[in-house]
Amino acid sequence: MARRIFFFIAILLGIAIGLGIGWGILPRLNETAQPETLRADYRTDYVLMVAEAYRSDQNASLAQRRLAFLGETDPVRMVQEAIVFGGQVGYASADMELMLRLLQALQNLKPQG
Amino acid sequence: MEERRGYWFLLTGLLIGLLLGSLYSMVIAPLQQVDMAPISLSAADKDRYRGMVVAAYTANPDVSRARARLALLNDPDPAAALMTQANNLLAQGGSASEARNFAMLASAISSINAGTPLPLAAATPTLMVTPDTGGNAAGTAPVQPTVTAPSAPTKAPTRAASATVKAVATVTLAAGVPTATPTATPGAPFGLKNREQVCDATLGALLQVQITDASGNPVPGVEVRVTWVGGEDAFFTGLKPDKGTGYADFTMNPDETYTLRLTDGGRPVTELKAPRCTDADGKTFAGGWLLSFSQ
Repeated sequence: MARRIFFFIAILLGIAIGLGIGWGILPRLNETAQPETLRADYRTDYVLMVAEAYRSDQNASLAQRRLAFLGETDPVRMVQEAIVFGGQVGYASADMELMLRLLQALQNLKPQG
Repeated sequence: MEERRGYWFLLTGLLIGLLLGSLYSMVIAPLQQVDMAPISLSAADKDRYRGMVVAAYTANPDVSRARARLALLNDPDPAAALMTQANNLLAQGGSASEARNFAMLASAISSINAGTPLPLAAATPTLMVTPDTGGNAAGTAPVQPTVTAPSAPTKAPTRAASATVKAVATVTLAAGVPTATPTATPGAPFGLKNREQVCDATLGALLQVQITDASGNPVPGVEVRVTWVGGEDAFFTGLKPDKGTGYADFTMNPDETYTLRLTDGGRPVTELKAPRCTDADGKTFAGGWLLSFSQ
């Protein structure tokens, strides 16, 4: 009976160590993040950068390629999310307008491409 | 013998548990990365992020905003990181104008870090509180964000770590405010004002270029091209801001003769060859040149 109890405790201990390795140690060894995992405020600022550049070059295709940095999500949706987040945290309206213009350009681009 | 078997069954239990725990934490329910910061990006992705900062800065020359964005990458020296990336870009045959934009931002940041007043504008951007547009500025967009005019440039972010980003997002340059980027007087070509032989064994055959505008301010981001028989190279002023934002240099091969030309205009400087110099001990070495250009 005692052997079974100790065997069961050993299994639990092994599970705990396994979880610690998988959730604790390994993620720290590989701390490189993918751009799509950036936090919403950083993603929004990146979208704003793309919108700023778009204002100057008026190249919606280039803006689309730049937004692809943030992952495979639909670029229109990315900009929409950035606008919503920017609105929630109080981005300056000049910045909001830039993102809205980018959104409009991407929406116009979408049917063609 | 029975005692030893007891230890073995404990080890077996531990291994079974370890296998189950690892399987669950690595295969069935692995940890998902969420809410990461730019500092955690790979080197290649940081380069792309930095490139986007430069593109945004080129479109909207707000150096404070660009500097805050670069700070998210936590480079020990953001200007040096920009310079390195510009050099890599040129070395890989990338766009010269893009490298120039990197150099311009590196110079602007270095100028601010060094406390050097920028020639054409204040280093601090003007804050502008834009009135609420009342909703959808673009008219047809499906999203109707509530745009509120920020009362202060550092409105409380969602988390402490995002303070920099929030500051970035709410600081805008007022329309009509001159940019913080020093630029040369438009139109006027640069002319060679001084050509000085430099006999310094520590520098060797270094071709140094100093470029100033009509007011005597150093001009960053000017492309300098050197050609020689069978070769050509290009570099930009401002990539070594510790030596001045209008400074650039190139190491000559003592056996070659060079022609130097600024792509912004002016006459080429020909017959540039490393001069023979003699040190205090009578030993000869290849010296360099210091060329000063001005508008």
